[in-house]
Amino acid sequence: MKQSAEKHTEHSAANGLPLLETRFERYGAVVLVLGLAVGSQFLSGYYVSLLTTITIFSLAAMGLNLLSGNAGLISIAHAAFMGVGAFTAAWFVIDMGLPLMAALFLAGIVTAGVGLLFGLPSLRLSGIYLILATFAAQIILYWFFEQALWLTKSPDGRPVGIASIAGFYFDDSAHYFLLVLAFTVAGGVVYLNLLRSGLGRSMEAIRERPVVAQLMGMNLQKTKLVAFAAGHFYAGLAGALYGWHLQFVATEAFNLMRSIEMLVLIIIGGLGSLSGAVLGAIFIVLTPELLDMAGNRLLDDVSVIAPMRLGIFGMLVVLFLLYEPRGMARSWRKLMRYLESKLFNMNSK
Amino acid sequence: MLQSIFYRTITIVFLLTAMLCFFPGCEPAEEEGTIRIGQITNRTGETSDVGIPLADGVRDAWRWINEQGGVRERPVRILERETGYNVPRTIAAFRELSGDYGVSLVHGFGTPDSEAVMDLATRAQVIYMPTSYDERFVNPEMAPYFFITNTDYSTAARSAVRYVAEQNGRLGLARNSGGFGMAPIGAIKDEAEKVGVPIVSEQDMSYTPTSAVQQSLAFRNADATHVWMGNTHTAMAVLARDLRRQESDAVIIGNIYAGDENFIRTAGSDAEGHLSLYGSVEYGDESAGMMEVIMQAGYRDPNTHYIRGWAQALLAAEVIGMAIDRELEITGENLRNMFYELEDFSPGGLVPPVNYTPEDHRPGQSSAIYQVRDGRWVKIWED
Repeated sequence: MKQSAEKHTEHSAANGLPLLETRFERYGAVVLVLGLAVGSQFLSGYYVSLLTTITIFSLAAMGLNLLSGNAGLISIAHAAFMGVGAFTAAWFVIDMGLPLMAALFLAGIVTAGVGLLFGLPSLRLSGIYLILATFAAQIILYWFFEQALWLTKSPDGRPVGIASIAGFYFDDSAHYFLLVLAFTVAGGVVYLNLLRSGLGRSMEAIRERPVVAQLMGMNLQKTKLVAFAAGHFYAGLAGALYGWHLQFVATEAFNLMRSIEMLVLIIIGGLGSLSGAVLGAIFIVLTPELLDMAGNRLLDDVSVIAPMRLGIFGMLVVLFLLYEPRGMARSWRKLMRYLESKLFNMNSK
Repeated sequence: MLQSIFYRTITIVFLLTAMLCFFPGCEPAEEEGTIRIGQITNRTGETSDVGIPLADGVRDAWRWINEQGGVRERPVRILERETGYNVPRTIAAFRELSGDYGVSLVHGFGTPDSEAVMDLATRAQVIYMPTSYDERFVNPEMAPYFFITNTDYSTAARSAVRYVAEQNGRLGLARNSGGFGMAPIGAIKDEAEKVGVPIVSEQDMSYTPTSAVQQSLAFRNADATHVWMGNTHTAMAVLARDLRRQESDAVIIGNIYAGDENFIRTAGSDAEGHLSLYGSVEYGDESAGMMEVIMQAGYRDPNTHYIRGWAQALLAAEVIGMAIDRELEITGENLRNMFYELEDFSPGGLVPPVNYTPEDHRPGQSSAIYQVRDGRWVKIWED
C-alpha cells in the first residue's frame, strides 16, 4: 500500500507538474549549480577532474535512464554509443575542421542516428532478447572502433588536445568543467521537460503496460524509437565531452564493462529519475577513488587496498540491491522532504 | 529497520572515509628534501598478471634505495596510483601526481594508458617511464618526456624477423587486435620484405583465449616455421598447446610480455623449444650486479617483469642522482637532459645497456632471442 502510494507520487511528479516539485528543490538546485560553478574554480586539478567525470556520467546516465529507466528498454551498450559520440566529435573537429560546439551537437545527432539503427530490432524484441541485441551492438561498435582507423586513428584511440571555442582555450580544467556543467544542466532541464510531455508519459506507459498503452492509442514503435534516439543523443554528447575532458578519446573507455557500469549506475542511483542519474554517477566515480585515497593516506601503500577495491565495490552494489532496490534517489527524496519540513517548520516558528 | 541500519552504516563509513581522504593531517609526513616519484600501476585490470610484478619491482627497488639512505641521501617517496589499466583513471591519476603533488617523474604501465598521457606529460614536462615499449614512445617528437628501459616492440620484432631469415623460415603472425598487439605489425612487414621472409598467415587472438585451433590450422596449412606473437603468456600457452595438437612444427617467438616465466608455467611441456624476445637477465643470474640484492628482497614470484621493474627504478635513481650531483633542481626538463648523458648504462646489469639522444629515445637497436630449454629461458641468439 505504502509502495503504491510512493509510486503514485513519483509518477505524478512526471505528469504535468513543475520541473521540480517544491520551492526547496528549485532553490536547492540553483544553489547546487552555482555552488559547483564557483567552488570548482578553487579546487585542485584532481578534484575538478573527479567533478567533471561525475557531471559527464550524470549526463550520459540521463540518456540511459530515458531509455531503460523510463521506457524500460534495457541497454548494455550505452558506453559504446558514448564512444560513437566521442570519435565522431573528434573526427568533426580534427579532420573536418568544424568548431567544437557544432561538433558536439553533430556528434549527438550522429549517435542518435546510430542508436535508431540499432533500435530497430527493439520494435520486435523485449526483455532478455533486447538485452542480447544491445550486447551485440556493444560488440559491433567496439570492434568498429578498433578497425575503423580512418575515424579512430589507432586501435587504442586518438588524442584530441585542449577544447577551444571561438579562440578561447579551456586549458584550465576548472573552466572546462563549467562547459560540461552547462551542458549537463541543460540536459537535465530537457530530461525533466521530456518526462512531463505526452511522449514521456507514453514511455512510462509502455514500460509498465505495453498492451494497455497500445490499446489506449499510444504509438509503441514511435515511442520506442524516440527513446532510442533521445537516449543516445545524450550518450553521444556525453561521450564527446568525455573525450575533451580526457584530451584523448580512448577506445577502452567505451568497453562492455563501462556499459555495465552505466547500467549499475542508474539502478543504484534510481531508475527513471534525474537525481538517480546524478547520485549513481557520484557513487560509481567516487567509491573506487575514496577507497584508493584511504589506502594512500592511511597506509601510503595502495597495493593493499587495490585488490580489495573491486570486491568492496561489488559488495556495496549487492547491499544496495538488497536494501534499496529502488535506488538512492528514493532516499534522497525522503531526505529532502524531511529537511524541507524541518526548515519550513523552523521558519514558521 | 534493516534499511535504516544499512543507510546509517553506509553514511558513517562514507563520511569516515571522506574525512580520512580529505583531511590534510592524514597525509603521511615527509622528511625535508624528500623527492616525490609517481607510480601508475595495474594490479587489478586486464594483464595485471604482469602489472603486479612490474609494480612490485619498481616499489621494492625504491624501498631498497631508501634503505641505503635515498638518492644522494635524499629520501624518495613513491606515490602509487592503481588504475587497473583503465585510461580515464590513468589520466586522472597523472593529473593528480603532476599537478597536486608536483612530481617530476612517473613510472607508468601499458600501451593505451601511456598513450593517453603522452600530450599531458609533454605539457606538464614530466618524465614518464612506461613498461609498454611501443614505437611511439621512443619518438621524441611525439613523446619528448617518455623513456623506456627495453628495446621497443618494433625494433625487437625486426630482430625476430632477421632471426627467421637466418633460419630460412616462413613467418606467421598471431597478434592481438589492440594497440599493444598491432604496434609492431608494420615494422615486421617492412623488415620481412627487406630480408626476404614470407609472411604466410596473419591471425588474430584475444588476450585470454581458450582455443587456438583455427589459428594453429592456419599456420600448419601455410607451412609457417615460426609464429611471431604479440600478446600475453596465456595466449602463447594456448597457441603452443594447439600447435602441438594440430601437429604443426611452427616455433612461436613471443614478444616480451608473451614469452615469460608464466608461459613456461602455464604451457608446461608444450613450452619446450619456443622462443621469446625476453628483455632482462633471468632471475638468479648472478652475473648481474644487482641480482644478489634482488634475491635478498625475497619476492614471492620473481620473473622478468619484476626484474625490469627494478631496472626501471634504478635507471630513474641514476638520472636523479646525476641531477643532484650537478646541483640541478629535480624537474622533468633537467632529468630529461640527464637521460641524454647516460652512456651504455645498464641498470644493475639487469637489462642491456641503454643510450638516449634528443633525436632518438630507443634505448637499444636490437634484441636477443631466448629459448625454453628444460623449463628455463636460455639465450640462443643475439642480433
